[in-house]
Amino acid sequence: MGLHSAQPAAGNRLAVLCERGWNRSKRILSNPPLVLSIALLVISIYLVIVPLISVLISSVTLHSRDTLRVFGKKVGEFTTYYLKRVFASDISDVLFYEPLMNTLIVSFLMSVLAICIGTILAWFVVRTDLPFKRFISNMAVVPFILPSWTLSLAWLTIFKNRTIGGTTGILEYFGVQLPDWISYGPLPIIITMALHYYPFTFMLVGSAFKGFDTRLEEAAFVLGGNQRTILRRVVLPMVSPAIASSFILTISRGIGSFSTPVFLGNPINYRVLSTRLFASLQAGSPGDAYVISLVMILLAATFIFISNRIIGKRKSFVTISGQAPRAKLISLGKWRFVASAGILLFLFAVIVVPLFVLAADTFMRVPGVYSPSNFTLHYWIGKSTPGILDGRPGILRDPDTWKAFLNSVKLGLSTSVLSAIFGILIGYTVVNLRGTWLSSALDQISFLPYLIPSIAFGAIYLSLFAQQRGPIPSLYGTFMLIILATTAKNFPFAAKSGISAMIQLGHEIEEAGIIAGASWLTRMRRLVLPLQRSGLLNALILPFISAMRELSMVVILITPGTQLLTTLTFRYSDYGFYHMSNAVVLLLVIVIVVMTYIMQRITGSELSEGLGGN
Amino acid sequence: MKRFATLLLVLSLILMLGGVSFPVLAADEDWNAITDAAKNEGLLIVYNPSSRMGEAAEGFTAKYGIAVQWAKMNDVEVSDRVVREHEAKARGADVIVTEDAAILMAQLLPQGYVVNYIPSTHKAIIPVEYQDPLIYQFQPRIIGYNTEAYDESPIESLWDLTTPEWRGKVLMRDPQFTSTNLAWFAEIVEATDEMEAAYEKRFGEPITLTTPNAGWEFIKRLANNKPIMFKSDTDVAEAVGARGQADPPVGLYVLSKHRDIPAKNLALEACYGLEPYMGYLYPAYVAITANAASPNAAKLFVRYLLEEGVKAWTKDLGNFATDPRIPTHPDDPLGGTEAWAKVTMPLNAQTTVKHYGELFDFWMKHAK
Amino acid sequence: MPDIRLENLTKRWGDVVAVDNLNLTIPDRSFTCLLGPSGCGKTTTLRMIAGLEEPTRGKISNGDKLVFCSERGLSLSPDKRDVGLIFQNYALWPHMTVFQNIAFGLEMKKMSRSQVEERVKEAAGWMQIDEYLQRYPSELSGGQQQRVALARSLAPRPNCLLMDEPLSNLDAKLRMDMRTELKRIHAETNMTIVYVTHDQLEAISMATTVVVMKDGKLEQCDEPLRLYKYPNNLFVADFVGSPSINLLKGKIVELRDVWTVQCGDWLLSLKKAPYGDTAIKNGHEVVVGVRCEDILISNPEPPAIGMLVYSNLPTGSDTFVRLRHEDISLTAKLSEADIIPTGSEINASFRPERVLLFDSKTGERMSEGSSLVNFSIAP
Ligand SMILES: Nc1ncnc2c1ncn2[C@@H]1O[C@H](COP(=O)(O)OP(=O)(O)OP(=O)(O)O)[C@@H](O)[C@H]1O
Ligand SMILES: [Mg+2]
Repeated sequence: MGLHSAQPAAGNRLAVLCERGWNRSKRILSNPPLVLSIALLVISIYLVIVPLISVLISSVTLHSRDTLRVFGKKVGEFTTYYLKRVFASDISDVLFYEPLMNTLIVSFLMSVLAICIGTILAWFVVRTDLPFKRFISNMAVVPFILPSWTLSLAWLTIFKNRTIGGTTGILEYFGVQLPDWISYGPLPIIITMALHYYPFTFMLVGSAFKGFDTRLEEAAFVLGGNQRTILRRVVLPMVSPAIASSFILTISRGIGSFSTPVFLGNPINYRVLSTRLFASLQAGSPGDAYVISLVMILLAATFIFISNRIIGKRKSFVTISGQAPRAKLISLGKWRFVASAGILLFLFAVIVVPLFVLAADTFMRVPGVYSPSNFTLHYWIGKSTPGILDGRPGILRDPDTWKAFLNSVKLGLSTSVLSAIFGILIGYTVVNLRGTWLSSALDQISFLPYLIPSIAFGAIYLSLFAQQRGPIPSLYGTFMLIILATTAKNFPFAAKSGISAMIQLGHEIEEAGIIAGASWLTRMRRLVLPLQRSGLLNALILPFISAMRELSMVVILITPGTQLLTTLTFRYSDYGFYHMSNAVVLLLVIVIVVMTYIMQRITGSELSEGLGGN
Repeated sequence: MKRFATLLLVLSLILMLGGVSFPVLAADEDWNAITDAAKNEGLLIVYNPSSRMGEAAEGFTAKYGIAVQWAKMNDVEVSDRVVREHEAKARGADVIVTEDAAILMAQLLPQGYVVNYIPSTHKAIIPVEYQDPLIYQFQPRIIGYNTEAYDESPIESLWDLTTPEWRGKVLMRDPQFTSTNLAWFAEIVEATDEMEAAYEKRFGEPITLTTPNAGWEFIKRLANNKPIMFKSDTDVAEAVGARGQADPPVGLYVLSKHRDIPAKNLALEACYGLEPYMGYLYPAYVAITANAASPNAAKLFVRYLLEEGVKAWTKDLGNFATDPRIPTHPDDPLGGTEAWAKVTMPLNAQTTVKHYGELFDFWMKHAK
Repeated sequence: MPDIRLENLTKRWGDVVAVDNLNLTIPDRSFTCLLGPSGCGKTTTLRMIAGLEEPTRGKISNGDKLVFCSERGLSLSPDKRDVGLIFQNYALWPHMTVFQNIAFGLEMKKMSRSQVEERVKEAAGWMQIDEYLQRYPSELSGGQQQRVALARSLAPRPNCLLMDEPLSNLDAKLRMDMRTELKRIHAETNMTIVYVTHDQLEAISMATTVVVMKDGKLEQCDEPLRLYKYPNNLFVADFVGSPSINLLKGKIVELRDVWTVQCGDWLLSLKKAPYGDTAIKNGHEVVVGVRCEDILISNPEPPAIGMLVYSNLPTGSDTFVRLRHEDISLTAKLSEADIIPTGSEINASFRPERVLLFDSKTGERMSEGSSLVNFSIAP
């Protein structure tokens, strides 16, 4: 009897254990957010972590080209050659220390300038009774939409001197002798980059101005401060978190920025880290390039770390609520129109003039001859003529342009759609599984690409996806690779907006569906996604714009079959075909502006939303 | 027995590795078959550093009805892409043209990324020394001056380029990205005696060295003399030859830019008589990729390039086909490759390979 | 219909123990209130019953049906538990009309078009929201949204309706209306209702069973009036009732068949129902609890004792007066009529059978009830 009863007991326990295991795994597998999050984790590890590791590896293994330099080692073997070369060799100065210093100086000064411009503009638009506010605030963000090198090309068109040969700029044509430091190098880089990046500050500081309680300002006024003292002692300290975070945002962009220094620095051999990295790749020293990438990643990471320390966890410090206390506007009195005119003039100078100059240049037969008889439409619609620009037809006639155009639009659309989908899914799973390690892993990983400068990102993707690895076929030379890289680069933005959208939505909306007995798919389709729609459409615009004007990353990934408008510009300017390059930039600007306009129309949102205006 | 086994192994390895190239090496080729096969293959992709390729490609398409996609890219890019495409087994170039002997000889050919191919039609025609790897043309890159400002060459020796007078007034393509310029430096490093002699002739005293030899010394001093780096030969030629300059520079550019003199109204001439050499003569290599998706079209194209395609270049001054049947341009000031080879330094692939890495860093270090 | 039983139910998030070994039976067709201060685990318990949260350990059953069992790794999905849930913020789907909101759950049950329509009409009729069916939630007032949320949960006719502080977003008047409404629904349907609130008045006035929780633990589960009259411990005594119960610290000075408890210079002689613990000695610290309505002022039968009126707080129907004696202060409830001027001296006494005695160390109630037999000032 005793024997009998002992047996089933043991068996029972085992059976219970088995049952528990079975029931559990069944439940996990039928828990879509969990499965989804694991899938997302795998994807983001593959698209983000693996590339990061691969830079590390690439910087300490021998590359095939360098068998010409490092004798006695095989390709792929461990080597400290690149580290030594970059950090402690004869050419470290050229290869690393000088570009590092240049990077730091340029991005620091550029950020300071950008912040001054942005803050002043924001103050006028938000805090004063400036006329034409709405128009100004819409126009003020335009430089950010345009490709960053539009200004560089325009600068060259105006200020280029004879030093580097080719066509000179307008000023030289009219007899003004320009020294190199005006035409190229740090000064123009700082100016043009600041003019491209100030909208960050404008938007962030603008919402801070909007959000704060004007009663404080009024109190100070009652206590007898004059406007200047109030500005300095009361207003600025209150928007300083916004300024600090604009600074971090701007400077970390500055560190990675490539296209401006490439156009304005390369002619006189003034290199920053990104252009040095690119030069190393072009010169066939990928090892050096990867070491530099590492440094750039570390730099960006440091800035983010510092900013988190100062500003606190990636939290926004301003709440842009609709019910912000209606600010009492500062009256500019008779200076209203002067201020307005000044600002409009500034915007005119940074938006209209550059575009006009670029456009004018494309209509000149012989570069640099500014007379009516020199007018031509050749560069737009001309037939192929031997001897002119290698016999290329005008860009509107050139099938390459249209191919690049389609590719760019394709890239913009697919990147923004993929980013939006990724953003929603990440937002959904991160919020749904909040408190689990999966959730925080996803959150963190999706933020990482922010740290990796685009050009480094491109280099990594190139090395990573050139070969077939496991089940994933080689993506080299495919358009897919470019889409993947651009999308992955967009992860931080997508994830951030996805997560905040989901947090705003709250989990109850979906839970009410669970209780009602809706399956996961039904819930997503009928409850979650429809509610994300406006956020989703919004999330489409920025990735679209940034994909459309992406150059630094894709320039490395492009193959002749996958040319984009941006890389076409770059190519043309590399060949010295400035007309063509200007013409393509204009085309690109038109596409971006039109698409942005259309998308804003569809979503009913504005980039400068929440600022000034009515 | 063991030896036999080893031999078998080696043989089979060779067979495996050479699988693609085997038919390529076959003695007599059936060109009808190749042409038919080529037409079935459809697209042909060509990477090369010259925009003239467009004309050659058009001619090929017109003749055979085979579409050609060609892309202009620099040597590093060509070789990088070829390697990547090979590793990726991706559809990429079928034919490449490169001027970078070092990469071709040290990497692309020995590591099996590309194969050397001489059409059976040309085996007996192209001089043997240009067959492995196959060179289809030579171009001189020379130093030129502005004839409006100077009646005759303002410099008589390469060493002039290192004098204060020409500081910041020497234009050239950046050797970091222009493999041929780097290869020229390699030749200079080897030509110690000539460089020393030229120095003495120019300055009347023997050279004092801060580097291993007069060649290195020249490169160092040139680098220190702030030469200006240009992106293209076209830009160099224009900047040197543009009229109305008070104090025009001299520059290193391909001779073929002289064809633009009338159209662009340039005042440009080469510095003939420069000691010890007025520039260098560099080859353009053509090869087929090992994984060519259109191998037959590639062969057909190489043959076409040798026969007719090259005329896209040789119809103008400053390009010399290796096929002796294709005549030198009637206006050629010297009358042929041989003559140019005497006044310029012909590049030697072995020399380039030997000094490539060192020179690259050396230049970078001193050009600051 | 069966009872819902929770056994050893525990929920942890890392170190946070939201629900701690909860054992509870929710009687069939009861109106059970989960009551407790903020953060005590009410919502968590409710969500575990609904199946939205997976317990760390324990068992949940619905009659014979095992709904959750950590040991066997079993967990029925929410839709199979036959429950409805009303969220604190209603969680109406803003992109659907009221009709679509109510119909959604019915569609999920694969009902025919006409059936759905019929049920929606019915539920809307119940909640008197017929006229709003084509509106979107944002076009409704808070109270109307609340009704829609109710209708949405009622339409599929669940066995059990779970509500998480459903009335907390409404103003006082609406809240009263809805309470009546909810009671009506409970009476007219056969549903078990589990209702989370931290408003003890709401719990007492609506529930058939009240469950008081604190720090994830069950403190007491009882009918509302028993809970009010006989709180198991100081926490419940203090938490339930408004204004809260008067608590006087004291110690036992004499232990015979009548216990004498000294609070300040008061001596209370209490005759009490037998209390099991023999370990109680003289000097044992206790807390005496008296509800404000059990303090008699108007015509106190002796024993009574003199106190000073410190303040008056009329509410309209009643007046709360604050009484003082030395360090002791008490709140008493008087009817509207008897307003006593501040500063006057009165005689006060306790309603004899309604004095509660708690062990001050454990907080437990020391007996069923105690009867005051004498009340005097210590000599
Ligand atoms: N997702 C979560 N992760 C970690 N802790 C949680 C989580 N949800 C709840 N808690 C914690 O569990 C405890 C119980 O929370 P619960 O929401 O059940 O409280 P509650 O009784 O409903 O409170 P309230 O009356 O304020 O709604 C709290 O301490 C809370 O901080
Ligand atoms: Mg709660």
